[in-house]
Amino acid sequence: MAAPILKWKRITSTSGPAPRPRHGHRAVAIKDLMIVFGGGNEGIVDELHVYNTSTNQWFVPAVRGDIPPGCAAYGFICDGTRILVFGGMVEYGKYSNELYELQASRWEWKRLKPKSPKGGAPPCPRLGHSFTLLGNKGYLFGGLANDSEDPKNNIPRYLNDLYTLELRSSSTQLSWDLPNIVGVPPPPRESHSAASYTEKDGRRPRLFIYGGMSGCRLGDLWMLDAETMAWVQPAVNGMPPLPRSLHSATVIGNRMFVFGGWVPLVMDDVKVATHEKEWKCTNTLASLNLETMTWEPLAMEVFEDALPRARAGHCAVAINTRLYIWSGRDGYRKAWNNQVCFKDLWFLETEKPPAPSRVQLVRASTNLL
Amino acid sequence: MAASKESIPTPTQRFMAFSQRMSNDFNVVGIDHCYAKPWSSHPDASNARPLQMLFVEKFLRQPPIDQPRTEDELVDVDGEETSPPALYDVSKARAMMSDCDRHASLLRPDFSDSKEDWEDHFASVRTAWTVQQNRIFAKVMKVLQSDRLARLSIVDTKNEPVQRRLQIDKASKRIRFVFGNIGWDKMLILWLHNLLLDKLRGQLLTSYLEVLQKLKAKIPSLIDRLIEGTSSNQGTLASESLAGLLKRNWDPVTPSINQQKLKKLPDNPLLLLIPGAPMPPNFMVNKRHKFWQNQLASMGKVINVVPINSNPNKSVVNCVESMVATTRSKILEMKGHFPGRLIVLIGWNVGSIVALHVSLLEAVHAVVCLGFPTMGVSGSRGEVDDPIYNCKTPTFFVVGQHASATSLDCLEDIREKLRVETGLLLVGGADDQLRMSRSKKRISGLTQAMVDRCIMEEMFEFLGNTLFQVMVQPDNTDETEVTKKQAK
Repeated sequence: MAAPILKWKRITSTSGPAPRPRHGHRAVAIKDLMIVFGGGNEGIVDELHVYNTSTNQWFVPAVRGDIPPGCAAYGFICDGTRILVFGGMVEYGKYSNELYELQASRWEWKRLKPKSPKGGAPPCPRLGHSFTLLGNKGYLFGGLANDSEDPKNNIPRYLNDLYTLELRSSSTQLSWDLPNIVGVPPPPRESHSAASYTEKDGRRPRLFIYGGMSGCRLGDLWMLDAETMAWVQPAVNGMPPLPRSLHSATVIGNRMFVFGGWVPLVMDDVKVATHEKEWKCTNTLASLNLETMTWEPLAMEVFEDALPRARAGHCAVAINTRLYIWSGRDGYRKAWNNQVCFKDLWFLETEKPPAPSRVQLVRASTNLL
Repeated sequence: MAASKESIPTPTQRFMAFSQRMSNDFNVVGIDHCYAKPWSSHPDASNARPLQMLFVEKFLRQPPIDQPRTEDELVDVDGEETSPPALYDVSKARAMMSDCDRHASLLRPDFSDSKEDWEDHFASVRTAWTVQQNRIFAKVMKVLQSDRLARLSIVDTKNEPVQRRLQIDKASKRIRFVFGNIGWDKMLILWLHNLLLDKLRGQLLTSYLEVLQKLKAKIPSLIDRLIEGTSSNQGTLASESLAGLLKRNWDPVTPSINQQKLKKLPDNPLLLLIPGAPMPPNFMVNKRHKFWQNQLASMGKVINVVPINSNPNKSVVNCVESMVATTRSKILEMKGHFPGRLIVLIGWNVGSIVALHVSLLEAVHAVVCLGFPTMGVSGSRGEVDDPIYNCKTPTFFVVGQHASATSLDCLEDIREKLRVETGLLLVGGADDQLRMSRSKKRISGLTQAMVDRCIMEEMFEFLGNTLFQVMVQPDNTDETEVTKKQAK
């Protein structure tokens, strides 16, 4: 079976105030809208930008309420029109564990104070964690904490704790929950990706943790069954992509698309344990079929100009069958301590447009006759 | 980056190759999650980078004591000192240091046995001298004797070559002062010179020769006269060999510094050096200027802007105007020769003001102001109408801690209001010309060349970041913005 050739398309004809390039931001989708918040480059951004994919227009909604400080590498989930922001870097070397809610119907921010879990502490300040909506709950996993008081002197601690946040609880105050888990949880990590997937009939809600960073880039895949709260490392077929972190993983249909991130620099011929200090950004796209648990090869158009450049720390959202990505950084120039962020917006059409219906075909052929 | 600002490096740590410092700072979290400038998290924050300090320590004399000593603690007396790695080739520096000594002992192989009688000899003949002769002899001998004592105080210490260099500089300054006091009376000085060469022995002679070496570099024509007048009856120390010896002027660190070159800046930019004042047509390049030029040459292509001053009676205003005009014409010439190359203006003192003003008129990519004066003939800078506020070129200021024409507060006020990224480096114990004071150099164990090199490394870091951004910006421009502009 020949898979359809996937094609990236760059959107160049946007109107409205384009947000400034950055990395470490996040995006969620509400219908045709892509909502972008936070991230930074030479300064953490506290503006909210919205892109309308049907009109190709950026706009900055007038927000009110308890407007949160800008943050980067935080957790961002969207439940209906309710958007939640958790944690992230708020200042150089200073991480947060605050939870904010944005009601997108009114563009109103609210600071939430969820209760501590029974028999445990609330999640510690962190960045690079994942915060994923699955069913009625937000799942918070992993990230990086700073054990140092001095923001300039970082003592990193990688996390692998799992908290859940019930979003449709009967009480007005949300509360963190430390679920009883079964099995061995994934090793500590940050800047991994988490994607939720439920089968079409609503059965078997699952959370997939892929990749991340724990001193070296990771390429392992973990699955949490949300019904039994059991961690398993599923058997995966196919050719896995390179280990990575700061990538994006987006579920469209029954496939999880992994794009970009930092990958170890490997020599093609020697498969020695590479010196894990050499990394580069990538623009490769991988697709994991979540039904068959297979990394599927993708037929891509591979002209230089028709692909987004290699990047990390970008944002990706699924809108209908399209995967949208915006901004991100292009790598790290060792010599000059700085990086460049992209201003470009791309989308990937993941499925063929629906085939014409029988009526259309009949009409077309009668016209021809 | 997180690690680079951890603690204030000691002077010796400062004097380290840039690349070395960079590799120490390699920090994964800092690299992956660099969303904010270390000094400010907000993107609209001031463009002024925080003040950096070079060789400014809170407690100058007292080395930090980590723990208070308990009484019964054993003090390791004859254990080996743990020394930081040498910052320069010590053996080479020591060889250079003893060069003069070797010469002196070659010339006077008999110095050991006749050590006593030369003093007696002087004592017997001094009565026959004039008052003036007696006075100048006494003064010079005092300098040489104290130099000898100073030398003995540092024999075989770790940083001996550097300290010795500083001592010689001090002694030569004092000798020059003594000679200057009598108005460089040629007869008198020549008499003393010949007397000293003839009768001095051992380390005193070495000291005297080393002083002459230094002065030869500083005031060549006056010392040339001495060499010519050296009477030839002293056997091997004829004027030619003396001239040969005096041509050398050793420096303990310059060879090492020259070996570890600075790296190239992005795109090999044109570095236009603007001096602090117009030069006479046949000016003599001083040693420090040459050093700067050599060092900068490894960062980019160095071009000297030489505002020629043919008319010594020009007014200050005319002078500055001609400097601006010369610089502008040089920039235009360079833009013609090397279209598209990045241009950096580097100005010294008044030249730094010229550089700033020219950057308002001509498109350049960065400006470096070395010893930027905030005080001028017409008062302090930074008034509301100061044209400096129109500056759109990233600028790096370097000022001395003890500079008389620079007020740090004033400069910080100016920087806060500038709409462009600026850096500020404060050099501890340095004057308007960024020359570190002698006592500060002695305490920190540094020579001027080391200080200069550190300044250049900070400059290099600023310029590297700035020029790099200039370079990558064009290929990252958004098409949408361009099309938008066209549509309007």
